[in-house]
Amino acid sequence: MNTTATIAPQAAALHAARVGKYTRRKRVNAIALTLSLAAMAFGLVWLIWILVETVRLGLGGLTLSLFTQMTPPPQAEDGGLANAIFGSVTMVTLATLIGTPVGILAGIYLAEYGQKTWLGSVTRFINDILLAAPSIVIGLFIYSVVVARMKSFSGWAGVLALALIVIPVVIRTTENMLALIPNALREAAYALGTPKWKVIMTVTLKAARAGVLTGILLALARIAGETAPLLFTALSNQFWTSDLSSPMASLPVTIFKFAMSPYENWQKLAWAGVFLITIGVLILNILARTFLRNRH
Amino acid sequence: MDKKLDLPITEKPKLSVRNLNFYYGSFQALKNINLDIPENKVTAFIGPSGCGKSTLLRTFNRMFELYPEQRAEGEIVLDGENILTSKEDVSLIRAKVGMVFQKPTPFPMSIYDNIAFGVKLFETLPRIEMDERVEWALKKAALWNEVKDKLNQSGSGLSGGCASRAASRSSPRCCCSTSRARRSTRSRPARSRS
Repeated sequence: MNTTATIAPQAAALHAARVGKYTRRKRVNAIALTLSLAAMAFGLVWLIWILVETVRLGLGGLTLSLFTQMTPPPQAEDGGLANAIFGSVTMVTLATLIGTPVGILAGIYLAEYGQKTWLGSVTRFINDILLAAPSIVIGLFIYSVVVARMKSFSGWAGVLALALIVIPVVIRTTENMLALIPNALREAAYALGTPKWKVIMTVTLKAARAGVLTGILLALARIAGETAPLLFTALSNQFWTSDLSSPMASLPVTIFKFAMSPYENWQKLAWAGVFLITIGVLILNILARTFLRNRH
Repeated sequence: MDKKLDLPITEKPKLSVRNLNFYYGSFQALKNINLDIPENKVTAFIGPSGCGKSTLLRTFNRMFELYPEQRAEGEIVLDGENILTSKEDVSLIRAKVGMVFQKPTPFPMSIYDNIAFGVKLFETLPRIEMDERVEWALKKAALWNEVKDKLNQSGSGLSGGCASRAASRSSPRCCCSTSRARRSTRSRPARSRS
């Protein structure tokens, strides 16, 4: 009799304490949730605003002549961005083609061979610096070692500068994605007697390919809009050129030049260019993602 | 062990462990292990969690060498040769000493390729023979009916350790397993054959 009488108040006190703790936890949860939602909304507002502005101002300039005609002189009636589009596509493609293999190979070295070696640590440290380097520094570097020596601005110099931006991004993502692959997968492959290079090529790199591809896309999206490194290297060109040893027009540099001008037709073309870059990167992203999802 | 196999049980051990010490960094996990494992017999290690069963198994195919801080001292003699000091390529030793893991890890490729992977490492087979080999392995693992219509689908969708289990059947002459008994009722992964 006595025991039940003492247990009942204890149980009631325990229950009250639980309810108290629970209410407090719920309150903290509500506050945290509100704050994180507010932060997300703050970020989204600007993003959507940028997109809306880009579409509003850029869509008007989207005509066929944009893709067929060269950049016009000020206050001309017509004109397009054909030479700038071609220059951008060429330089971005070449820079990605050069930077991706280098970046993937270096990333493989860091993740699979040099995790704990001094060479790995040094490479990783330098790569981090390169990753954080302002793009204008890379532009000036290529200017001094390539443009100044060749005594000419050129498309190749632009390609090199862009490739130098691609490499550290791809190295970092490749290394990180390979590091995420569980060791159990490596062990399973080694246990069959697979040599190391084959484990990397057929198992770990394959398991990490979605992440590696995302890294390449991130790098591509970044260089598609880079202005500073091209300003000192490829410069710009008012006319069509497919010769990479001569100065070459590009969308970002043309946008930079046209948007700052007082001429209305140039400003309109600048917005059309902004719209093109945004849409281009977006489409590329969506394409790569669907392509990846349709495979295993 | 299958009764119909009826292989001769020889006196000479297939694998002998002599004075084996194993270290994870400065921690000694195995102390002076001496052990003979006979040929054509199933040998099982049992013991509480963390007593070093898997650690011992991982020395038999030098799997510990993937981790620079782990090392083994002593002798592990397989067919008369100490595999710890053997000049033979470690890949060839691992091809002889098969291993089935506790956790299944299918490779990021189709079910067919998961099984063909282990075979392709050491044999070049025409497509028809490879098809037969894959079918044989899947039938042996009692998986054929389950997967025969989706051989080109991803191996990651497979339930259980099927793919890696089947793949390890390609040519191993010894087989170590870290699977637990309660899982092995269906799959019977621990076996030695030659």
